[in-house]
Amino acid sequence: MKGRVLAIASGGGHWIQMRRLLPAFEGMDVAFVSVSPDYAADVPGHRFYPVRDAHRFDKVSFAVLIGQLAWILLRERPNTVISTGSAPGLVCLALAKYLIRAETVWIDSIANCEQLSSSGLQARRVADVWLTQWPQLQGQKGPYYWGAVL
Amino acid sequence: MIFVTVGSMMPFNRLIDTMDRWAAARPDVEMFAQIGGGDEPRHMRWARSVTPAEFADLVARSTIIVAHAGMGSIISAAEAGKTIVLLPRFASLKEHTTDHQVHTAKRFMNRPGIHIAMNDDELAEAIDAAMASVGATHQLLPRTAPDAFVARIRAVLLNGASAPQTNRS
Repeated sequence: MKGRVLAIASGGGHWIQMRRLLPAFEGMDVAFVSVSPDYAADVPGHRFYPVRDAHRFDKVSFAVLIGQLAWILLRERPNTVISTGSAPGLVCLALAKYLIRAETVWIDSIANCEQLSSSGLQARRVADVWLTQWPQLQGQKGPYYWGAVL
Repeated sequence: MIFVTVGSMMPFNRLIDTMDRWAAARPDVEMFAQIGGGDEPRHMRWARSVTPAEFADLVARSTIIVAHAGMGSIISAAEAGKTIVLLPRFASLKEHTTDHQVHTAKRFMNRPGIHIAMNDDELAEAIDAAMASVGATHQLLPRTAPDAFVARIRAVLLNGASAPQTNRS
């Protein structure tokens, strides 16, 4: 049985794009992860976890983030992890793949219309469903274009 | 009220400095600026960051929004039916890590309710154009993604990734 989902998005536009996908989660058991506790108000009735907003060149924050995400994944045990970016979402997909063998979905931000984000390029290796929101960026072996949040 | 926002904590002094000079020349116009980690303006009320609820309130109260070319700003304005002026951040000026905001600005420039200043010296003109267009009714962007996209994502969450992945519509 599928339908147990972990949805992770960074702040600002990343989170707003995830929020626009809320109807896709209807009736499912979904937990949300973002970088500010303020966003919990957008998803009432769902479990919500704030995590460190880490960049890869900040080693301490990055280590904290990995610990937080591993704990959340082991606690939540989602069937599927879905992200609209950015770097924390990529890390979460990689951990989900190798730690709990969850299925993974990467939706590259609609902000990237001429080339995939750097996180989005790396997501190829850890995403079971690897998507861009712009048709001109799709490739034979992905990323695929299924539509966009707008 | 003009709501100026740099979208995050990342400084965007070119936007704030240009708007501060604009505000100095137009003391009759109420302004509020979310400035992130950058320089403090002298002629606008400001905050470094605002909560999502405060952001929504500022958007709702604004006549127009002047923002960096970030998708959060663009989508928020469209969902509220507000006219927005976008100034993209440049990677060359270390305003962002890449030039994706330049690409976004070009990609969205012909959409109703969106006015673009590709550089700060075009900002005043873009604001004039935006102000002149206020009152023309924009269609509110629904707060949810298109049904077809939602349905395909939902199918993956319910049925697994393997079945629909080869689809190329």
